[in-house]
Amino acid sequence: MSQLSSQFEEIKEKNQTINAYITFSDLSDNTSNGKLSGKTIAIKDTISTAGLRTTCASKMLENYIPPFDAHVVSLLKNQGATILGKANCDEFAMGSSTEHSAFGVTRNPHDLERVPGGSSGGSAAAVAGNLADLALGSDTGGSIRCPASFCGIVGLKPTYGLVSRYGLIAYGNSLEQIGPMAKNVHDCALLLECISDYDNRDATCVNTKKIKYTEHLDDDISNMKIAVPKEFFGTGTDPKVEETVRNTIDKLASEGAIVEEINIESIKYSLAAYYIIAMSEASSNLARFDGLRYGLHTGKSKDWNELFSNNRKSGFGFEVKRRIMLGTFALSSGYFDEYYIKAQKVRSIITNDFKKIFDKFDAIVGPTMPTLPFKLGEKLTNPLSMYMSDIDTVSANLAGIPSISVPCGYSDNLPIGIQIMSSHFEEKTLLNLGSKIEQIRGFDVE
Amino acid sequence: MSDKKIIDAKKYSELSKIELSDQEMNILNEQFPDILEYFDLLSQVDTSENIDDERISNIFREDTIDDSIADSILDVVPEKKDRFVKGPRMM
Repeated sequence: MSQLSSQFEEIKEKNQTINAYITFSDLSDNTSNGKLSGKTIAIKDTISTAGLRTTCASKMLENYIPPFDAHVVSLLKNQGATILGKANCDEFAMGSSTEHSAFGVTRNPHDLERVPGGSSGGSAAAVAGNLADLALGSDTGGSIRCPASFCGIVGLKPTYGLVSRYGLIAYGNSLEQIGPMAKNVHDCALLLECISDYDNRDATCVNTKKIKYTEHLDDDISNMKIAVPKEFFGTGTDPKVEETVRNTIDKLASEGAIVEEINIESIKYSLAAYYIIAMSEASSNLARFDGLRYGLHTGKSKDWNELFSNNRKSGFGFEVKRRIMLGTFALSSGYFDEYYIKAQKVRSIITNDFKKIFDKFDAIVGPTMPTLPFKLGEKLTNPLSMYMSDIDTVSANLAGIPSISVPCGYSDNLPIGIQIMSSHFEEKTLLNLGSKIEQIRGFDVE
Repeated sequence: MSDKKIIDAKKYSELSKIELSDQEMNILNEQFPDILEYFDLLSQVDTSENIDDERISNIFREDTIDDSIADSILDVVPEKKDRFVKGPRMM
């Protein structure tokens, strides 16, 4: 047995407890030589893999085998990566805890009674629990950064348009990006280099100059201007999280960064605007799941209405149903202006406010998550309290700017992530600052 | 609170073509008013000014035929006749 196959058996064994994977690959040898040769990777199950079951953690796609690879998956294969399997997540990426999966919850490797965060919880738990070297997640409102923070790893949401969404099964398509997750900033930068590639099959993909992110990790950060919005430390922020994040910011200042506390008042409206837009887009995007061309098919019905309603009743979980209904409401006649259009206008205000900040500052820093990883089941019966977990992450998706979460400390043996945002296509600033934080935080992630 | 908005889950389940059980309907009817009350926070924002969003522009590409994956797409269709997807009667 080769070293890789015996390692694969160990991973399958560990997965019985963590449940990071929904489906394992057949571990076919990748003979391509590239930047990711010898690296194992878990792919979030919202990303299409040719010939390998892709479920979106939904009963709707329980038996769906995509006929094509997502653009990012082709790129990984070309770079020699070994795909281990498909990572668990909240159904159709809707959630902040990976508890809304038709394939069971994923557990946080740091504490098995706690959530790994979501929606890319399987991807984060796979990396944190040594079930993969690297992972891909997708981030619509924090779905890469939240689980990265809760599992003590690095996760980056790229600028909207940097990474092709071709083959990413859509939830909130004006907000989401595929992004890298890894144990350390270097590997995160390496994976980003491999997946940021122009692709005309995603009309929102931007043809930008290729950047070697790994070559900017040790750039000098002295005189870098960092803004700390007061709104990121609002009520609901755990004092232990605030203390750890503020200590890290102080250390950046000791390294020569110029830190200034600021206000971005529109941030307090970001969560409501985000959920209205995401749910509206979800109701439209998920209309394609009728069970007719692919996906769950419940059999004979007397007409279209009955067939669709039956297939969707049996295929979708409760959180997906809740969001589709609320989205349908926000787009319906009589409420469209009051909710959807209003949210779009607020989104523009938030975007413009961020632009103004980045005229003066290189980065914005704050906590990724307002709390430590919570207990399994703790927020499951109160959707609004679950939505509130995303309070510090959604503004980056609304503005389309890149954002990273980097581990900066622990409290009660649970990891805390610091979040950094920068201007459009300034990922190298995030990785540069993230790498500095790794050097000054005083611990390594094993 | 009596001034909370009531939305009827039944109406939106019909619009979104998702049949709901009575239990699901009751839970949603109970949760929606709180969620909407939170969404109504946006009414505090003055959006009367014309807000420009310079990011938005159309992107086009040539309409050329690519390597077709039509056959493999048809492979996953649950019910079909020849190269057509078979659906239920319209009425």
